[in-house]
Amino acid sequence: MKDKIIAFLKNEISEDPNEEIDPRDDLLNSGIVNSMDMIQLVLFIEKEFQLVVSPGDMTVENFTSVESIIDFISKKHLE
Amino acid sequence: MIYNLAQIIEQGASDFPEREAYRCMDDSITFAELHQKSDQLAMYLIRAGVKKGDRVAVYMNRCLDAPVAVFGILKAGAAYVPMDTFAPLSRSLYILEDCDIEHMVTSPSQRKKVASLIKDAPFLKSVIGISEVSDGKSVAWERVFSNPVEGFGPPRVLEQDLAFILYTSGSTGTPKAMMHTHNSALSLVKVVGDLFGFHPEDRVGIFAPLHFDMCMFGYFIAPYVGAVAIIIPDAHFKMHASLSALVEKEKITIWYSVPYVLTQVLLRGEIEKHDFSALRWVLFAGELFILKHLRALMLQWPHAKFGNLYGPAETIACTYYVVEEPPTIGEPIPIGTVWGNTEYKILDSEDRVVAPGDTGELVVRSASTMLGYWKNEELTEKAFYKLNISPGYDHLYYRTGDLMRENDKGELMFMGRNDRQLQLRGHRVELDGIEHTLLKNEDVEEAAVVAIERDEDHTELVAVVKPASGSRLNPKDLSLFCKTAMPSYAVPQSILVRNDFPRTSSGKIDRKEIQKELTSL
Repeated sequence: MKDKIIAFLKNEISEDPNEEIDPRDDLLNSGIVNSMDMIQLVLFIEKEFQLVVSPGDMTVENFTSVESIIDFISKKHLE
Repeated sequence: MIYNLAQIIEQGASDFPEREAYRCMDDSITFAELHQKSDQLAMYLIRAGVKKGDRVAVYMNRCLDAPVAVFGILKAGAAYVPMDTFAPLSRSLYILEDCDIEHMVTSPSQRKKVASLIKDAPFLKSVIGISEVSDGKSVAWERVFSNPVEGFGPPRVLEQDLAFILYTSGSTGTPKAMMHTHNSALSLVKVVGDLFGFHPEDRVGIFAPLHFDMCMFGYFIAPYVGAVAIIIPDAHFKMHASLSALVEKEKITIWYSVPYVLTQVLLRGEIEKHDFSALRWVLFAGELFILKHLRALMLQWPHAKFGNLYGPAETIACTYYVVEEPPTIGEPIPIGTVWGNTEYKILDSEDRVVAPGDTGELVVRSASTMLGYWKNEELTEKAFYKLNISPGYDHLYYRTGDLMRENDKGELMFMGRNDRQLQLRGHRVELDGIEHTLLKNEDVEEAAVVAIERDEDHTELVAVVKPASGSRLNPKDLSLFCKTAMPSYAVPQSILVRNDFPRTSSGKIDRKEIQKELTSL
């Protein structure tokens, strides 16, 4: 799961595919992901991990880092 | 007496030292702390060789170190140059070179970008705010704050000294850089603070990044009246449920943002689940507020007053209109009228004042107008309309490039951009008018119409639309809708449905970027 998300961020979002992304890096405040990227990222997560992201799920806690996205996906899968 | 921006903090530190000046998430800084820390930064910069009139860059995400950077740089007698951390590195490099910048203040979250920037910018002498970059140039805050402030004699800063330089996004061509003085920002602070009755109990939200003129309300008006300014982190502008929760938690009373941020909260921010009862002013500017969304928002927040503001960054802002009632769809709301310390004219293409009610270009004379464009005298000369009163005495009006007319109440109505009007097969076409029509369709959330010159005598109109959530919008139906709602020469030749638009860092639709993308296809 982690590798899939990082690969997506590197290949589809980052300007520089060689950029190292740590699972704990702040995606939202650091300038890695902008608001247009966010829509792409959510579509990717919905499709890849078979879940629906509702407006209420769009919180800083759920999307701050690759680690928090993984927690969010696991939580959704338990629902 | 306050005649420069740094004195706002100095005064606050003497009148109410323990009061919070800025907050960001669970952190805050008092006036006394901010005064001391910005003194220490100023001392550091001066020892590093910064002289009056120099430029120092601020390359930061939205955080509590930003006010320290801003006031520290100002106290050193320098002008701050706020940079967009989301911009490509080549653009950041251009700004550093264009402004002859040797010192930069940044934050740890920008570590990676700063490391690559330093490689291409050997002229940078110090980068303050990070310690991780091991090149001898980075200076941690601890080092800056270990300086005792005793004996610090700050340089004299006059109201006509340069305070900051704002760069336009410049998606096409060279970016323009506006030079603003202390006087320019302070004039705005006084007029706007008074007009909207900012008071010490207010909690003013900062919804714009530092490189965008809208942030001035929170950055300068709030501390001027002794109110706390709430810096909202970048993350919350992508996560609208969190944005709503933060505005509720911080009990923000004054909101000033582009309509886009308000629309996102309305449509995706779980607005009905949060308590916005503290809001007393909802102010917006930067682009037209789509009426159906403004109406819905006003019905949602009946306790708040709504104000439509207008002004190119060259003037920071200059007009306002208080929206008393939720607008009816189809009747655009006025830009309103200029506030105090400001006057205007509406001119035709020969610089003659138009007849009452006629459309022309708005030119504005105000105390908050920029000094000119940095390193571009030619452009500065063109930007102003000079009314000669007597030999050696001129009145300078900034040419906004916006077409306006006065309605029968004397209020200004926005009629489009000079460059958003074109002649197409003998007809005058207004691109903004086509957008308005598209927005009347329920399935359309936002729309951008651009003209693409295919060859010398063939210009194509292209509409890019973002569907309303849950709608099944297809270009064919929308094209049919256009044919019934507008003259045939104005119907876009192609309609593209997209999830979102390229946007400027403040959230405005970047139509020039769309045009560039479509032209290169």
